[in-house]
Amino acid sequence: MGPNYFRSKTPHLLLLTCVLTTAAITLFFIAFIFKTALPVFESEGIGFITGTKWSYSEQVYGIRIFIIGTLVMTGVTLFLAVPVSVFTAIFLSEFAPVRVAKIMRPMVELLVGIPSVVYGIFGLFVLENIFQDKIDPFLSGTLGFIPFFHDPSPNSGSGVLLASTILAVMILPTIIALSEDAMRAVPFEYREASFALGATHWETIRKVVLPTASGGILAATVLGMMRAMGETMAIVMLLGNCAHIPSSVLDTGYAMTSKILNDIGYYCAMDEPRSALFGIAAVLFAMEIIFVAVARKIGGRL
Amino acid sequence: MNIGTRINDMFKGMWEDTRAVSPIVATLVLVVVAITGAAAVGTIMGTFSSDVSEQSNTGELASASSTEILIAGSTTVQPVSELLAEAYMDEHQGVKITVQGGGSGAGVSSAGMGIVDIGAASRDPKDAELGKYPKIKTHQIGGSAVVVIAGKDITAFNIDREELKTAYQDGDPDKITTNLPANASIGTLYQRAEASGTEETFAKWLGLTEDKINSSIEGATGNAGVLAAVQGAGDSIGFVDYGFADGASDIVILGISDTGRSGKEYKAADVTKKNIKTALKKNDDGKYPTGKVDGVDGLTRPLNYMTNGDPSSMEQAFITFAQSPGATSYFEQCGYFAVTEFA
Amino acid sequence: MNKRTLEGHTFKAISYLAAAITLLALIGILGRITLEALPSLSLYFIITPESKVPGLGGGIANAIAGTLLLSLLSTALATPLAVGTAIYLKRYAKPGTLVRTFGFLLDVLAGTPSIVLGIFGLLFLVYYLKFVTGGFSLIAGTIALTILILPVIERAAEGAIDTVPAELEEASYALGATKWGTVRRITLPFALTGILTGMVLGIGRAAEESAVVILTAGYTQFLPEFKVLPREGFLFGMKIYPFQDLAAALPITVYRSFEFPHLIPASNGFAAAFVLIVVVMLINAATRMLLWRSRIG
Repeated sequence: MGPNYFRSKTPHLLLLTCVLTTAAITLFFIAFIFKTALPVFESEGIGFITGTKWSYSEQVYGIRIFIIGTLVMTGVTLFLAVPVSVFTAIFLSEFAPVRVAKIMRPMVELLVGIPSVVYGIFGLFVLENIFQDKIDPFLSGTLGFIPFFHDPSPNSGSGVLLASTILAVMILPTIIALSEDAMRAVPFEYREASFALGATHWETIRKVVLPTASGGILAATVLGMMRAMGETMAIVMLLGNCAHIPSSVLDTGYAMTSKILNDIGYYCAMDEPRSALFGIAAVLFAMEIIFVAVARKIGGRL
Repeated sequence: MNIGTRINDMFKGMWEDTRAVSPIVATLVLVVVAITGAAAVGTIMGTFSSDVSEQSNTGELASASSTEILIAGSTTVQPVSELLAEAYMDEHQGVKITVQGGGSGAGVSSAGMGIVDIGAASRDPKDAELGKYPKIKTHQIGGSAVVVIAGKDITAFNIDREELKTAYQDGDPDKITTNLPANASIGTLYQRAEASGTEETFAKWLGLTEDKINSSIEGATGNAGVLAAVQGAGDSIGFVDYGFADGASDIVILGISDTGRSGKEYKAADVTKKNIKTALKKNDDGKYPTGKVDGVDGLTRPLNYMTNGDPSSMEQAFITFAQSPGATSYFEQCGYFAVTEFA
Repeated sequence: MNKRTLEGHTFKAISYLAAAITLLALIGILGRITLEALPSLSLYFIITPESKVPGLGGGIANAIAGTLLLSLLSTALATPLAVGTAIYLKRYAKPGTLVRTFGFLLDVLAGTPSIVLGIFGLLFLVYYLKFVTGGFSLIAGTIALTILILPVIERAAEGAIDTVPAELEEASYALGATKWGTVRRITLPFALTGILTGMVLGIGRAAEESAVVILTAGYTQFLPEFKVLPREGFLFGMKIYPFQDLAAALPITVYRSFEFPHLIPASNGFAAAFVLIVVVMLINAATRMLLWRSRIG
């Protein structure tokens, strides 16, 4: 137990302090959200999640519409973003000449630096018109016989597809960067072994690189998904804020995050509405926790 | 292949770099330099603004609360507050007034909780709010009106108030038929996404509470959002503050046919500044007049400042400035009306 | 051409197409922002705070200063915690349920929707802790942003530590180095690239955040001040600037131009967005340059 003992223990203790602080912050944060939300869970019970009516004056709080709105929007976003970003990651890690990849990588990361407000304004002032005049009529004209592509409001571009398109662009860099990291982390010997066995480049990618990196790609996707679910500012501007379940990808909807942002300023000081709004946050949080748990089960540590 | 080279490079760097810790130190230095740099730039620029506080420091040690006012609340009031604050600060060196949004509800509750010095609201405080914050004092600084607007495909007509009410209640634009120009049809209705004083005034005028407006009607953010939405969809109807609608392109302000209540027909041309001012003048009992003013009847609302208890002398000085005739032009710039114009 | 090469070419083409779509989206958005920003972009616009310009808008120095303070302070707070946590979990803690639970906790934190963090900040940091934070303030915003970016940096640090070859560390131990000595001389230098990337990501994430910032730091037309004034109702009876004062941020400036289109020209908002992107890009480039230099030297 000489001075050397303490000297070797100090870093350990310092690091442990970091860990405990991080844990304390996280646990307090989670506990705070759920505690503030508790009154509404007690008064509404399961009806909070299954109910479709939200009224401050009648003190009825049901959020099924918002939950489904968020899920539909997230699903469409992933459908758009995952293929593009995974193939871009393949391009960057496998096909692109070193110089091209070197220039493109930071550019893609730059997309992360664009604030969501800007995406929202870009979506509202630039893409909304294009969707209203071109894409919505085209989709409902060619695929309108499928209810999924029916356009219930031909004079408005805002809706699930517009919001999801913007969200997809927003989460592209996240998925690209992390997937590419996962692919580049695949040991070079694996590829050489595959080439030595006579496999083509693509076969090596499909049978060696992708399976080895699949955990990382999945983790990247889950991370992108959570980003999409949690996005607020852009969605408020683009999804339409209609409290109904979207009937098609061109229909409007209402996301959980939008409801919180729209009402928190007005109702923050009133106990019951505040608890209800924190209730939405708690449910959203609980959904994230479930997704994290599932993703970890499949893909290991995110 | 590039992966192999990259890993090789990394190894090379690893072994050749004898001062292994130096990058860490370098990073920390970068962070420190960046922060110091930001601080230095801030200080240099800050000297301009701290001149201000030094001037007020002469004689006595000023406290922050005696040189600063924080205003927050209604996004309708926010722009005029910013203009007023700017003008006031020009004349009163040593005073710093910061203005924020947040919404009328946040304005009342923040003032009540003492988070801000002055809360702003585009409505009077509700009984529930007064119950919770009994010390709240209201100071009216101006007024404005909400108008019903339609997109460019619709020529101005007098919309029936009862039909508008049913349409907003059921979320069904087809309920609006009376006076509708031939060949015109209304495709979309817009409401405000967030709880707002504007929507509250509109709903109250229709005879609804604000959450009786059908929630499946598309909601846009802020007066600006609703205006942009109606401008974008030519066959739509929405409601915005007069200040936003006046002079805006691609929309028309609608007249009102109030057959159900007063039996009167207000033409769109009656929605004038003069009429809004008349409608904003409260009766002796403190209530707004009804049935007297064409076009804007019941659609007017006050713009208020609120303090928790009596305002401090500096807050009072600013509020007095906002209520003075000299402040009129700032309200005009935003499309509102100063309290001196109608009181 | 046989089926195998055809398949290879097809998927290669798809990869190129995907990369082209990504680039197109990037160029489209950046190009449009730049184009819309041009009418407002000037040196005066960048170095003048909004408070010095008559009317609304007109200057963004307040927002630039606020964004720099918010993102750098929160990264400075989050990095030691994140890196320390990562090292402990990867090199000190015995793998087991506790470490797995902890990893889970961090993943949950990483997935936190920003609005949830925002209302937590609003209620806890701004309303409940008003006497410490000063209500809407730089410090409230910094703390909330620290929680937001902590898992970003931690994850990057963990990933970076994972790439350190075990043989290197084993060699270090074999040479008699202590655990901390090995971590300090082998693990950290090797993982530095990854950690720095994580920090840059963290700065970027903090700089572009709007929902959290507007609910915790508020907005101010003024530049940050550096002074201390007595103030009742605050901790120690004084208000410490700029920490307990309001802070502006570029994303909020952008939002204001959307909120008050009749008072602020739209190009102001786009110019603020343009500057924000440039600031993030500069931080990114500076880090890369630093890394590159340290590699060469």
